[in-house]
This record gives sequence, C-alpha cells and structure tokens, in this order.
Amino acid sequence: MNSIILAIVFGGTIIIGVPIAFSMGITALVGVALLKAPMQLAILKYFGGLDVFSIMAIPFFVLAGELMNIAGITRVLVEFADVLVGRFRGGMAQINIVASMIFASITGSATSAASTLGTTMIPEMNKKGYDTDFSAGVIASASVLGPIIPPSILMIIVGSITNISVGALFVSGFIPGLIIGFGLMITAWIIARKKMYPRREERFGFKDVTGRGIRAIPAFFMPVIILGGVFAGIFSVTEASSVAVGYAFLYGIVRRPRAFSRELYGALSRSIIVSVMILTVIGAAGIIGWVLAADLIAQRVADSFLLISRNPYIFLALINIFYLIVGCLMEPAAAILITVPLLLPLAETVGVHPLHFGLVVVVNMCIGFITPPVGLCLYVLCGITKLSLERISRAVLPFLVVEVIALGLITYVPILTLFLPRLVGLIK
Amino acid sequence: MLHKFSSFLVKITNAFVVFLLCVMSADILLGVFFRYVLVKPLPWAEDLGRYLMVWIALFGVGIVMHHKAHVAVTICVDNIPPRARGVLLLFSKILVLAFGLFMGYLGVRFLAEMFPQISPTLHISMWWVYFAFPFYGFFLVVSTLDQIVEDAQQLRPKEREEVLGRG
Repeated sequence: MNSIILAIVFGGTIIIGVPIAFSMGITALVGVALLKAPMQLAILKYFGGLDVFSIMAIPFFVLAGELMNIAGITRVLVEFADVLVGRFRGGMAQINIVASMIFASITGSATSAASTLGTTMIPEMNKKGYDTDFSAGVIASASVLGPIIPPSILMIIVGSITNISVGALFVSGFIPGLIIGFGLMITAWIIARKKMYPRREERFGFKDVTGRGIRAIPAFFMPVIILGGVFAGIFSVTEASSVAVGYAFLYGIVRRPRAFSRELYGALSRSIIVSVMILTVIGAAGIIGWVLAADLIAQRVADSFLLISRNPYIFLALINIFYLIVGCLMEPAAAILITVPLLLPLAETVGVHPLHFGLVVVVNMCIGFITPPVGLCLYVLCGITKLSLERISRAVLPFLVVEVIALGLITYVPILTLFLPRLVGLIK
Repeated sequence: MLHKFSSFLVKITNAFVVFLLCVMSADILLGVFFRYVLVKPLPWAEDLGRYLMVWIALFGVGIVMHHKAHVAVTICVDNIPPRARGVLLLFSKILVLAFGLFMGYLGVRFLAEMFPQISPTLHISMWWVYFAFPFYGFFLVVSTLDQIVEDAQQLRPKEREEVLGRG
C-alpha cells in the first residue's frame, strides 16, 4: 500500500513539473511519515547520502572539465582530431566524434561535452555546408561517451551506493566507449557519403601535424593522472580527481594566464551549479534509499523480477528494456540512485557479474541522455541550434540505433567490459 | 523587492559556495600531498572535505533554483493549454516551497534536539555540520518564492524557458 502511495506522489509531482530532486525529496518525506518514523530522520539520511567520500569526485571532475575548457583545451582537441580524421568524408563529423572521445577522458559529464563541443563546432559546421540537424545529431550522440569513457559522474554514483569499485568501473568503460565511438564514426561516414558532405582537401605538412600533436599532449595527461593512480591502486578516485583539478588549474594558468584568471570565477560558478544540481538529487536519494529499505520495497521488487526468469540472458534483456524506458523518462543520476540498489542484488543472484551489470546500466543511462522526452543532451543542443526537440531527436535516430546495437554487444559479450579490469587486477 | 533580495542572496551565496569549493579542492590536494609525498597522512583532510561538500550541496540549492537549473520533466505541462500550464507550474512551485519550508523546520528542530557529538578528527561539534540544513530550507524558500511571484505577475505566461539540466 505504502509503495503505491509513494509511486503516485513521485509520478504526480514529476508530471506537473516539480524538479526531480524535489519530487524525490517530497516522496521521501511522505515515505518517512507513512512509516511513522521521526521526521528528523530525513535530515540524518539526507546528510548520510551526501557524506560519502567517493561522491566528492563529482564536483572535482566537473570543475576539472570546466577549468580545462576555459584553458582552451577544446580548440586544441578539435585541431588534433582534424589531423587524425579530417580527411575522411564528412571530416567535421569525424573530428567531432574523436574530439568527444578525448574530451570524455577529461570530463565525466555528457551535457558538458554536448555544450562545449556544440558551441565550438556547430557554427563551423554550418559554415562548411553541413546541415544543422546532422551536426546536432552527431554532437548529441557523441556526447553520451562523456560518462562512458572514464572519468564518469554516473559511475561515481553507482560506486557510491553499491560495493562496486569506482576504479574498476572506470577501467571497464574504455572498450565499450571505443566500440560506441567507432560505431558512430562509421554511421557518420555513411551519412556523409550519401549527402556528399565535404572533407578536408589539403594535406597537413609535417610541421602542422607535430605542432598540433604536441599541443594536445597536456590533454592526454589528464587520463594518465586519473587512471594511472587508480590502475596502480595507490590513488582513490576522489584523490585522483582532486589532482586532476590541480593539474587543470596549472595548465590553464600556464597556457593563457590572463584569460584563465578572468574566466576562473565563471568556471567555478558553473561547476557549482552542475554539481549542486546532482548533489541535491543524491541527498534526496539518501532518504528514499532508507524508505525503500525500511518498507522492504526492494525485497518485493526483487521477488517479482525473479518470478519472470532466473536466466541471466533474459534478465539482462529485461534490464536493458527497463533502463531504455527509464532513460527516456528520467534524469540518469536520479534513476541510478533509485533503481540500482534494488536491482544489483538480483543481478548477483542470477549470476551476472556486478561490474558488468553496473556498466550495462551506465551505458543504458547514457543513451538516456539522447532519448526524448527527457534527453538532457537533446535540450542542450536545442538551446545551441534553436532547432525543435522533434527535429534533433530525428537527427539523432541513426546514431541512436547504432548505440543500441553496441549496447547489445556490450550486454551479451561481458568480456568486453571485464577484460581490462581483470588485466590490471582490479577484479578477479 | 523580493526579486532584488533573492538576486542579492544568490550573489552572496555563490561567492561563499565558490570559496568552499576552492577550500575543498585545496584540502583534498593537501591531503594527497601529505599522504603520498610526505607519507604523513592528515587524519582530518577527508572529513573536512566531506563536510565542506555537504555545505556546498546545502547552501548551493538556492543558486541552482535561481538559475532554473534543476532538472524537471516539462514535456507533460508543455503540451497543455497555457492557462492550465501556468496553474500547474505555480502549484509545482508551491510544492517545492512547502518542501523547503518543511526541510528548514526539520533542520532547526534537528539542531535543537540533536545529541551532542564531536567529530573525532576535526574536534568540532557535528552541530556545525548540520547547521547548514536550516539555510537549505531558507535559500530554497527565498528563490522559489521569488519565482512564484514572477510567475504570478505574468498572468499569461509566455513560452517558458526550458528547464535545462546538466549531469
């Protein structure tokens, strides 16, 4: 009975447009009241949800990304990607995807990848004769790599509410990220050939190639810092993220001291907005988590899921369908916080490796960034291009299909996910 | 008047929270330095960092509300007649207002009744950590109230700004 009331409160408040963080908060307070627990418990659990060391990596990675951005890294990455793939048909789209993949190893957020590359690339692509729809589609679909290729805000969230190691999740995201990236590149190439989009005709000289390569090197230090320490097992992810902030700060100060210090406060403020938005959801999820556990709702969801099937393949198929639907309707961080603690024990029961399960959920939720109606990256590009949600959604469709196919591959070939973490000894 | 006050408050809290973020970064970096370079870990660095983050999360809520950056699902309300939409949006904001009020009230009661507890590493009372909860309620209430007044003034709401989130 309680669970039905809670579902109605949650669904009802979301439908009328209450921000998700507060829908969760209101639902949680109703839950505490229904369970006749002392209301101050809400404060304690809200605090408990936030008082987690690994969550601190979220504001740090957001900040590191913002700092690298005002240091001018985006332009450097785009120029570097031009050297690599600019001569393919539809070169700008290819550049975009490659730059997104590298940018994803600096930032852990899909929307920041979408807004950064969108504002840089869309005007240039327009100038070179690309349809804005196509450009927006490419950028939106490539931005989902942000939280798949480490670092990743969503992986940090998964790690903070389960016993899956964030470091192992980070490492496991590499191969899936590359698979999706290459899938997108092939799709963009096919479309570009059909529409006869331009490519870069001139060849770069030796000087250009080496110059652009050398300028891009500092960008590659970022993943080295983040993953090197975690790989070696000496750093926690949070410590690595703070070092990433320090590194980004130094890089910016050295590279363009005046512009960097002028834009520093703005970058800090933007990181605050992004981080606090996520932290507000996490805090409310702290109370919800308690309510769900205290009311044994988790147990009941688990039981009903297991009634359908105990076969791991069918289980994974159900998980994918479930999360693709959830991804359309909910904000990814909130969805993970509510559902993963309920479903992870099930995955373990039917014999799916928890790390594999975690990664499959993260990839699903990333695809959720570009599925309407609640596709945050679509909205970012609506804002940049002034196109309607419908048009951008249609432009994303071919790429979305490829990503779902890649998701299927990642789901049913667990070795793609588990190989690297095993190789470096993060899991058995 | 209210709008001015709310904007002023956001400006001040923004500077304060940015300051906290800088301290938090410096604190964790310092912890890393002491642990791995001097091999003499600071026992309080982690705790201080976590409490600073809690403060950022609580004090910052009004800023996010002010910039309308909390993720909301607007697809349903976007597809109904403007008049009804205005009413629903107003109602949804009143709910947020009520939530803020109640959380603030709970925060105050929590502080009043809380069992005295000292952080083992920082040697400060945990009271100071929970101290941010009444402010969470307060900032949320002020910025939401500001938006309610603004919405109510535009009797015929025009195309509402997309509520955009980043995550």
